[in-house]
Amino acid sequence: MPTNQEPSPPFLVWRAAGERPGPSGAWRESWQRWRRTRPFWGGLLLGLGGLELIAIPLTGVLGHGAIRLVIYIGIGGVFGVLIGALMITCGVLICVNPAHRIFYGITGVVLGILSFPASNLGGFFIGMLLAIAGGGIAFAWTPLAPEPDPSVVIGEPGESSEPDDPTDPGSGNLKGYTYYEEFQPPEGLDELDELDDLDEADEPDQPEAPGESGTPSGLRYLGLAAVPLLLAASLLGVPGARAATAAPQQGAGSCILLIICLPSPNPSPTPGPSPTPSGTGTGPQPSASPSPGQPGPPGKSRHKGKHRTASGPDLVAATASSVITAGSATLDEFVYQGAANVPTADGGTVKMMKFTATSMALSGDVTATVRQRGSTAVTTSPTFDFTGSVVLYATKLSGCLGALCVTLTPGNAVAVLLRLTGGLTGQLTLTLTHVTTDQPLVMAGSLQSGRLSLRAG
Amino acid sequence: MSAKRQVSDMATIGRVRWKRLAIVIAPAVAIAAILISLTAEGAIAANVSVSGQQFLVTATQLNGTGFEQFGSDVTSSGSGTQPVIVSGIGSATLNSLCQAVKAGPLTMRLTAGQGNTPVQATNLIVDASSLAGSSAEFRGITIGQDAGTLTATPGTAGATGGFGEQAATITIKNLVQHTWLTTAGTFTLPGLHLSFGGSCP
Repeated sequence: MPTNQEPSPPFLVWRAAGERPGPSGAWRESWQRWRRTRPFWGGLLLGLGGLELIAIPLTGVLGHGAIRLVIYIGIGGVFGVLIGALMITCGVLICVNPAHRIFYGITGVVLGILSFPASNLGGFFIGMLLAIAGGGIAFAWTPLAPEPDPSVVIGEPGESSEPDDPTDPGSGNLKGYTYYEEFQPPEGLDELDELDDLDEADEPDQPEAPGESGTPSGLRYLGLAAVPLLLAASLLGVPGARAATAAPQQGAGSCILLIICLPSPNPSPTPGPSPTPSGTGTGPQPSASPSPGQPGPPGKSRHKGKHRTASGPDLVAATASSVITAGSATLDEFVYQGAANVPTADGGTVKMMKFTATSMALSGDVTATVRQRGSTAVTTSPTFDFTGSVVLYATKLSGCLGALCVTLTPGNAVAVLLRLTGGLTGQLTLTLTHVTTDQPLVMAGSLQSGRLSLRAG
Repeated sequence: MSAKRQVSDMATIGRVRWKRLAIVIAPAVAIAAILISLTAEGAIAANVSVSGQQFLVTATQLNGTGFEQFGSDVTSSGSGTQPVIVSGIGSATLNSLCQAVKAGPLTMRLTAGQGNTPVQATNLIVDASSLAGSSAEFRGITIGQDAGTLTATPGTAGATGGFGEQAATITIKNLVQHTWLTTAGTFTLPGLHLSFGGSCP
């Protein structure tokens, strides 16, 4: 074996560091030979292109972020990830099974072109170009000896009597190298044939294509290494498909990490808050009776609430802590409808005051703060103008009418409002200052906001 | 015998034949160029989903139908768990979209929809750490709904118990978002322009 023929300076340094010279040189040489006996660079470029395509959607988010991304993008977006995975597979197979380099190379080029519409404009061109170049190189790679004489093949390494064509420009300085794989002893071939037989049990009567089937190098069994990649790709596809099929019934449940699916307490969120028929001009209603069927089916409790004059909304209120504050609020035709039991996601209800108004204008540093799971989201705007049959539910509402500052809760709302409005009930226009609303649930025909800013922190 | 010849084929040192390379590369590049030009005309919709370090998305105007928004968080490789505001829009048009994506040392700037034809996106979902607009209008809005029961954007809902809001339509002027994750089922990008360096206005 021609070892240590061209010791480059780094190699010398490496050896000086105490490495054993023999094996490292042999390793280096066999690596070089392995590389040069297959379209290695084509496969590498193709694999890198696939990695880049996968990296763009997936690097930034890990854990449930990545899973949620897959849910978001659905089956269409999964193609983008799938194309990257297939490219990596082709790149690996080009190196592992160079006999099929033409098929894998062309497939890689086609995948590269497909990646442009399917995967972030071909990974912003980079992945697409890498795939086209890599697949093309794999396709264009050809062995130097076009028709090797069988007599050359069967021989001990180093015994070759027929060196490479010296006029071939591609031989270069590789003349001293042995170009042959370790000779496969006939027993080894027999074993592989047996494996072939096993394979053919699955695919019977496959005609032996010359130059493809019967490749006895055993390398194609290494192609099994690509199976995990394909599996991973198909696994990535599954959640997307599930998300796509689950989409129409999204209201029916909430899934955490695709595994734990909770039944929704509110089976059918009907669209739109229907205004209560009894809501015009009537005085404050006594608060709805505590529904005894609370632990029962949530649909039942909602229907119970509907028979009360101050009915709950046809939707589920958030339980996260939320507050809206504003410098002032002007409410037209402001009516207190009574207390209502508003369903929450945990199957229970929360008692809230229900107000209606034709419009509600908030101004003066309107701030909505939501706290949930240790994070805070703050929305600020100079003005929030709600118009078109505004319905407001809240657990607490405080504000000042002139010098008189009050806090309304479902328990005291009637008395306080009577005091606040001097006995007037029904439709009136009310302007409150220093307004704070706890757990608001607002429905309106439209909301006009001034300079809007949302920040999560 | 043929089997043994295969052994030699596998083991033979080879090289790239440049003419052969051209046979593949030339049509591939031609087809890719056609695809790119069709995309730049807005005739073909692209599939976009990017995540990573915060990047910037701006648009002079966003119109959307089927809007919902809720709080969540992403776990990023760089900076741990980040709270985000998730906005989902069933179908959206964006005028003068500009997206600055940081990829390692490079900043890529993607602009589209500068002219009369806006960018169109379906199932646009954005995880933003901040979002701002010079003005906004929502129609048919509900604020304070349980995030798990949002229905405006099919297939997207937040965690049960979370705070959510949804609206039938939305208009935001001069949108500026810092996002962790942007994804759209389809994106038509008329007037697509990709450049390196620079940022969005």
